[in-house]
Order: sequence, then C-alpha cells, then structure tokens
Amino acid sequence: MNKTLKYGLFLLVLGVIVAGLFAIVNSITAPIIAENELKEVLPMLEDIDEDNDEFKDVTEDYEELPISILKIFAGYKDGKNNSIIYWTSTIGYGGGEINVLTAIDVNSNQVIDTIVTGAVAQTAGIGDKIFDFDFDVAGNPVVNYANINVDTAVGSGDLAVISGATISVKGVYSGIIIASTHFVENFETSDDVDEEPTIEYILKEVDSGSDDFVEITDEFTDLSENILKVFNGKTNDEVNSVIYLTSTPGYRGGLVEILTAIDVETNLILGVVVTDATSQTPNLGDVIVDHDFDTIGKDANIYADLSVEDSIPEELEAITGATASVKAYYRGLIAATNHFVYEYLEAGLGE
Amino acid sequence: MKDNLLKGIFKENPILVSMLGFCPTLAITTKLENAIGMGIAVLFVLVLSNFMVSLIRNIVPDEIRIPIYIVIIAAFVTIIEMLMAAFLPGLHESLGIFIPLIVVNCIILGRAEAFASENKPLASIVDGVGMAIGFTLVLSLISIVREVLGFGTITIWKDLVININNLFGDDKLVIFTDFFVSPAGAFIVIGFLFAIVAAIRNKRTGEVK
Repeated sequence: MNKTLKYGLFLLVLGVIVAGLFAIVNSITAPIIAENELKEVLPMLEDIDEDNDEFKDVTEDYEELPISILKIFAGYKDGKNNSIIYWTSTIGYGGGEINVLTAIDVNSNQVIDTIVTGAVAQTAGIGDKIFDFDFDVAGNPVVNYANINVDTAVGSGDLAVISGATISVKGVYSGIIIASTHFVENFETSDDVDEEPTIEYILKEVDSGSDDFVEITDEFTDLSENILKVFNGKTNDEVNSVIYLTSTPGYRGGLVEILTAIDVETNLILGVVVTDATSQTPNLGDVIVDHDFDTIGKDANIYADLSVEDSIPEELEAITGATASVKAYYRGLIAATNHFVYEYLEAGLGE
Repeated sequence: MKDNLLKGIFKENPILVSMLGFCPTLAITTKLENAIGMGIAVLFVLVLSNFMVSLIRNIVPDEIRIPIYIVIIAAFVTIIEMLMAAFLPGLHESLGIFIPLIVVNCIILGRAEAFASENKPLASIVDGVGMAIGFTLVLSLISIVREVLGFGTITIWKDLVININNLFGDDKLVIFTDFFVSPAGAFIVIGFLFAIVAAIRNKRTGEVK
C-alpha cells in the first residue's frame, strides 16, 4: 500500500476515535456546563427582569445567531413566557469587549431594561460610567432600536450618551440594537409593526415635527443619480418638509448616505443626518456622523449652487484630515438643496 | 520503578532541571489553588498520553509519530478542559487559556517522545506520574512564595484560605505587594529558586567556587 495513503488512513482512524471520545465526554459535560453558566448569570437575569421567577437558556433554539449574541434566555412566570433576555458582546473603546443584558417583554414588545454586565479596557472614570448610566431604554418599543444604525442614532442626539465616552456608549447601544433586531425578527407579535421601521425612525430624526412620511420619489422623472429617495414629511395631511436621501462618493469612492430635511415654507434646513458612513475610514472619515456642520436652520439656497469638487468653500465647516468624507457630506447636502430649489419649488410643489 | 518515579521529582525535574513548561509556570502561579489545578490537569494529560503513546509505540509509523502524539495529547487536553468546565468552573476560569495550552507544553510532548515511545506502558505511567508531581511541586512552591508575598494569603482550594494578613492585625503588611503576583515578580521568584537549586547542586557535587 502506498505509504502516504497508509499514513493518511492511520491519522483518519485516530481522528475518528478521538471525535467519538469527544462526543461521549461532551454529552456528559455539556448540560452541566450550560447549567453552570445559567447559575452564573441568574442573579443578573433576576436583577434585570425581576417579574419572572424562572429562566431558561434557549440559545440553541436559534440557528445562525449573530456572533455578538452570546446567549438568549427566556423568562417565565407561572410557566408562562413573558420575556426574552439577550446577552450580547460588542466592541467598545480600544476594542474592549462590552457585555450587555437586554430584557424585552414579549407581550408589549417593549424593552424592560438593559444592564452592562462587563466592560473590558474602558477608560476608568469615563468609559466605565456605562455601568451606572441610565440609557433610558426601559419602556420604549423594541422597534425603536431594531435595525437602526448605531452611529446615526447616537449622532442624532435621540439616544442618551455620556459626554466623552461615545465609543463605550455605542458599544452598549450596539448590544441593544442587536438584541432588538433579533427580537423583532423572531419574537415580535404585534400586528401594527411598521414594515420599514428603520427609515421611519430616521426620517423622524431629521423632521421631528412631522408624524407621517410619504415617499414621492416617483413624482420626479429626472432625479440626479445622487438622490436615492424623496419624501414628504406631513402633519394632518399637510406637507411640512421635503426629505432627501442621498448617496455620494467620499473617501476612495466609498458611498456616504445622508438624509436632508427642508422646510417647504421657510426653505430652512430642518435636519441633516449621516445614515451610513461605514465605508469611510474609522475614527477619521466617519467622524462626519457626529460632527456638527452647522447647517441646521440655514436657508437651502445657501447650498444649492455651491460646489465642493475643487475644494471646500471657506464658508463651510471642514474637518482636518477628513476632507474626502466631508466633501461627500456636502455633495449630498448640495444635491438635496439644489433639487429642492430648482426642481421642487420650481414645479410649484412647495406651494 | 522507584527511581523512575523519583527522577521526575528531583534529578530530572521538568522545570528546575529540564527547564520545560515555563509559560504556565510564570503565568498561573499567582495562587496555590491554580498550581494544584494545573498540576492535576498536567498529571491527567501526561499519564494518559504517556500510556497511550507507549501502548501504540510499535504500530506508529516513525515518520508521522509527532502529529500522532499531538493528536493524542490534544484529545486528552480537550477532555480535561471539558471536565474542568463542567465540574470545576471556577478553576477553569482561573486557569483560562493555559489549559488548552497544555497541548504545546514541552513536558508532555517531551516525555512522549523521549520516554513513552521507547518504554512499556506501566513504566510510562510511572514516568508521567513522577514528572507531573515534580511539575506540581515546583508550581506549588512558586505559587506559595508569590501568593504570600503578593496577597498575604495561601489559597489551598476555593474557600480554604490561610490568611497571613490576619496574623498582623487589620493593616496589610508592606511586604505584601502586588508586584510579586505580576509577571516580573514571577521571574524574580523563579530566578531565586534556580539560584537555590544551583547552589545545592554545586554543594553536592563539590563544585563550589
């Protein structure tokens, strides 16, 4: 027999024996390990979800879990499942791991509470404030956190943040978002769930005065390639604003998505939110998400005719070292305001 | 048989003489409990791997003996890790990465290659026991020194702790400094231990300068 084949067979047989041995030992130890882990986390589960008296680890009921979800527990009271609790692991300051428990009520689809159970390498006195900070998520609908972009949500000011500890805070919110997203996809029972919670939620960030948003993209036949969608923000069927979702090239051609809301009566910019800057350099280009460009409250006409192709005009706010990403921001803003001034208003839609 | 057992403890001690297995020696010797736990894990793996290697020594093709030894050692390490996680979770967490790293502990592979592959199963088991005891004794000695100087305690097992601090009232003595449970403290303690062993050996062989 060929020597190589013989050696291969030898190792194969050895591997099979070892695998069988592992299977036997694992069948004995796995339930005990799971029980130990539950015992370890039980005090924290009781702390976050005090209404329930029994908790079960249901992680294995779900296939292809995101790597950030460590465990999923179900909380029971008198044998009835009332809550789902996620234990997540996300990245905080300096790449340190942040562990968060997020409990969600399966009856009301509201977040019961969230607690930080561990944080590695977060700055003492700053980042580690996340342990005691009230993230103000208790009682809020889980759909508010599902599928949202953490950078956008934190940057918008709608989520509670700790000054100077944004990255640690984002780590915590990432855990809540991952938990909420999985919950919405797997547990949520409410019938009145918005099919597009993400865009609805973000549209409200740029135009909090409107309570209804209608897409009007199809009303325009010759939209610039940078404009992806156009919405009207309405209250009592009356149009308050035009909101543009734009996508423009930034650093090395990576696309940056921006929502720009403009008041149809005053032509003032109501809000600008960077909804996606993940293609930009971390901690450099993507600072445009949090940066205040001082555009809110300004007249749309100021930006409609500007160009940033050669350089950023002096009157515009810039960020040293992030010129390409800043240009992408202004390209989006200019595309939106230009369309608003020369297409939307010209067509008499604002009257 | 007696010599085979004792050589691992004194004459061929894996740490003090062969200078093998330094990573866990430096890393986990912050508490006596860790040393005992690591010693038990190494004893389990060393004895069983020595036994298995000796048992199959006549049928193992020489060209692939090392991968075979590694698979056997890795299998036993994985099993002990599973058992520790299930039945000794505290110790499992305390020893952490150093349990899986037993796979690459030179003592285990070294004994498989140098002894078990050339000797009968019973002799190989005795060799494994002797080496593991020698390893555990040195780990324990270093741990006691470091834990006493570092924390002022000796943690024998879980809550069974001798608190030397209590002998001196409420205040922690100045000599009990965290330095000794840091990596630098480990090097210094081991350095002193080597010096003592060298002095004893020199005295025995009459080579005192």
